[in-house]
Amino acid sequence: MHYSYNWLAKHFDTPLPSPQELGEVVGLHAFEFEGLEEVDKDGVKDTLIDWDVLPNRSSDALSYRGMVHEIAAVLDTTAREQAGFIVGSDAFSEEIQTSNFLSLNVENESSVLRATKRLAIDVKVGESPQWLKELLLSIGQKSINNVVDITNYVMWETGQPVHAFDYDKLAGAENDSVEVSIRYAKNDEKITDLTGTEHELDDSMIVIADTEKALDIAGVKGGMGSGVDENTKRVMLSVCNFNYVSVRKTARKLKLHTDASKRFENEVPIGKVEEAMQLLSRAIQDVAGAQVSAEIVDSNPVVITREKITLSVSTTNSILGTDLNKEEIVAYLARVRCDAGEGDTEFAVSVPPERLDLNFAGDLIEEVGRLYGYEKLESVMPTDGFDLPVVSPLNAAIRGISDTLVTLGFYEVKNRSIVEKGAVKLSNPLNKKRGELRDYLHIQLMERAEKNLAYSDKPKLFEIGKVWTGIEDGELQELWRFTGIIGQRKIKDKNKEAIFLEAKGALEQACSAMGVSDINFVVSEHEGLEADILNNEGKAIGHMWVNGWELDLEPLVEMIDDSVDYKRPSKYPRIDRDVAVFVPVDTIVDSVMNLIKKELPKETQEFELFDVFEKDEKKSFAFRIVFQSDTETLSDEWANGVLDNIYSILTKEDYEIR
Amino acid sequence: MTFIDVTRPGTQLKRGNLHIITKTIREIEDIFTRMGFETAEGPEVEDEFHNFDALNVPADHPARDMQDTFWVSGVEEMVLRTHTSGVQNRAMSEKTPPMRIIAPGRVFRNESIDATHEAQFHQCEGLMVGEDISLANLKGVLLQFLRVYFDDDTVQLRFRPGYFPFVEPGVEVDVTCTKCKGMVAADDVTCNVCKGSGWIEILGSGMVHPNVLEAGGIDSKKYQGFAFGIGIERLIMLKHGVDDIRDFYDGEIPFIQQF
Repeated sequence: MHYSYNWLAKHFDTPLPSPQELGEVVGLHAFEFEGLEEVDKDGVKDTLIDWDVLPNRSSDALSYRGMVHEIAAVLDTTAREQAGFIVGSDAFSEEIQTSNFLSLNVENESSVLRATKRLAIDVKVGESPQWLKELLLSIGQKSINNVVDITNYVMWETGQPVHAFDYDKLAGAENDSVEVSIRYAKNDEKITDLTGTEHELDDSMIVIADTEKALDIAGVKGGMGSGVDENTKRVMLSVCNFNYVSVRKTARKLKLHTDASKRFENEVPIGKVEEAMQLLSRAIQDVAGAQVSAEIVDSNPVVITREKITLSVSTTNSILGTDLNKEEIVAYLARVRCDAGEGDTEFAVSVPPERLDLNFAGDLIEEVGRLYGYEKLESVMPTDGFDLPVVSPLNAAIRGISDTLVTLGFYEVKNRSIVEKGAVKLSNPLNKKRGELRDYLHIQLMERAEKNLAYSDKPKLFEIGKVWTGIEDGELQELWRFTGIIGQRKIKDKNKEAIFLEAKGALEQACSAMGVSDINFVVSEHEGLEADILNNEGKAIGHMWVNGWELDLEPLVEMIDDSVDYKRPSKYPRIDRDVAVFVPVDTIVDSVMNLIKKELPKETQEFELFDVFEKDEKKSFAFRIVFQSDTETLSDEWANGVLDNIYSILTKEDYEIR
Repeated sequence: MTFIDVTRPGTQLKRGNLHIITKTIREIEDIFTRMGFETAEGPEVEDEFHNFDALNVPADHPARDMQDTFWVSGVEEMVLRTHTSGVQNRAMSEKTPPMRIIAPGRVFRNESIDATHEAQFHQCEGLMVGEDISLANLKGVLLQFLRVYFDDDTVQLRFRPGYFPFVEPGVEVDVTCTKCKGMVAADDVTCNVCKGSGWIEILGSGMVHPNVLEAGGIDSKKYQGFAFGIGIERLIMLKHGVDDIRDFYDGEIPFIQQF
């Protein structure tokens, strides 16, 4: 909020630091300093200081009096609560009794915490005095007339919104008998506000009304029909406190946010009703020459007593990391008008009624800390011990996969979670194109690969992230996925298998880097997909298309086997043999390998496919088999015998040995 | 003798690159692991309790407005998490103090998108709870972290009073401006990063509110601690001069390969 430097300064007998210095020092000890704004308009010269008052201090500091208290605390100086503009006295008229002119009925006390009305007669509505015009001009408010301006002044000064009704515009005024009720609006009840906009209300909203109609949207904005103008002679002063939830909901529904609603939404301390009514009454007498009744009609003349908070010296020092004694702590608390009681180590502290943010010891410790000055805190490393942090298998797996793919030439992308089309919708989308949660990673990945063809002929990308596949039995399904792609401009048929194998190879290497080596690939039945990826229980955990993959990460993590099964390498020589065979073109290598595997003895160390080629409508597979024994040197005859077995099995299948 | 041209570029197997957010999270994890912090992970869609109530942000409270939240349709009271604090609550419920936890991850805010705001971004929250963990310890830990991350022993930090519902005292943390280091430029031009103040706001923190400890099953009379939240894109933008947050999510190789 922007604060007028001149207005603040009026509360101090000694000059304040310059606006910049004041901004900064309050910024370091209370509210973030956002900047200054110079005002030089119509002969008014002032500086506005912008401090960011957050929700915890909005009850007390969104007002000049509140900010003045804060400045006094930070500068360790004294301030006057009265700015000195109003010279009127507290002598009000005993002859005029407010209750002779109006009655007040509050329908719902939990929404209307307190309502006060007071009558002023002989009101001379006119131009505002110069000081008032200048203050309002400084903060960018228009001067309307002296009465309306005063209500504005009182709100800014105390933080309590107030209102002045033209009494004679209210129903029953001709008989000096107005019945004011503060009630729920009726559904579809309408009201035109001060600025001429019509609003349709509902029965959740509170209004101040007379016997005929709604006069004011409580806590939000006054109505047009009862405002003070140049003809007004009698004024009903109104200062009320409303439940903050109710005002918030009303303001939201009507899309009507005012300086008043902002304050009520943040809870105005109930004691401010009296404070503001006093200031308002004195000001009306002083500035508009009115006679104000000594009587206030009050629906809830409550005296608030705040509970004292127990604070201990040791806890204060323990939380802050300081070494303050009781005297020092008490002195800081006194600066924010908190009084400490008896007790050397522990004592009860009373808090000012409007500091709604001070509720427990931690709040008081913050007061002490910020006034002491956080810059004085030492930087101390903690000395207690800790258990060795555990690395989660998921985290380790993600690191393993990512590092391997990077080495294989892949770039990691992070795509957006909120997309146009997914399996789960958001109730409040960002816009038409971003309103659903992604259910697949590869869709955006493919788009990215396409775009990156501008930079590379073969952009290799991967992503590890979360998707949402739907809602099952009321539970949202959130999963980790892992996807990769080898971008291509155009995949020619003759290159399809090569690209597929490159993508498959990258996936297999990434899996093996995380300790997973038994995923299986089978031909997919889904259109557009080449393979389904199965876990070690035969369950599908993902898919591959020609140049990429997407699979569920958590099942993979469950398959991690990084155990070591050490066996001393044999000292005996190895023998290797190649087996090459022609097969029909649609034969898959797994079927041939499975046949051969059945014939392989225990001395087999390696069995790999090392070549595939197609020629004249025939396909050839070539395998290398390596034998080695732990106990003896194997002979050529032995190896040939094994191969003979293999050849006969293959020949039985009508495969042609090369 | 065959001639070898030793000035020819070496034959390289072309490497890709990790995303800078991944690299930064790893860096943060590694720094904090050395200080004994364990990394915790949790769901990106949280229930209201874990995202708000357990963090001392009651319903209808204006503090809920401080974060604009995405709500999920079709399930009751589920939101896209606005911070990773829910992870901390879960960790507190599962462990006994003393504990040191960090929770990096993706978070979401329903705000208009521009050069410094995106609907999703990344945060790393930290929590340290023990018998007498203090604000001075928070200063110590954060200062260590910032000096190592920015690789600069002269980096300073500054605490200012702040407000977050889950901590009390609440503290805003500024770090020495990475660009001008708080010094006036030779040509007297005001630093555009820190606007001449010499400080940049870098993270929020404070002493964990007793209600938050209790919601995590920790006896607030016996234990106390601090919590902090770091915006990861923000850190990266300050360290490397990235100026548009949307670039992190556009998936362009010329961006990814630079880090």
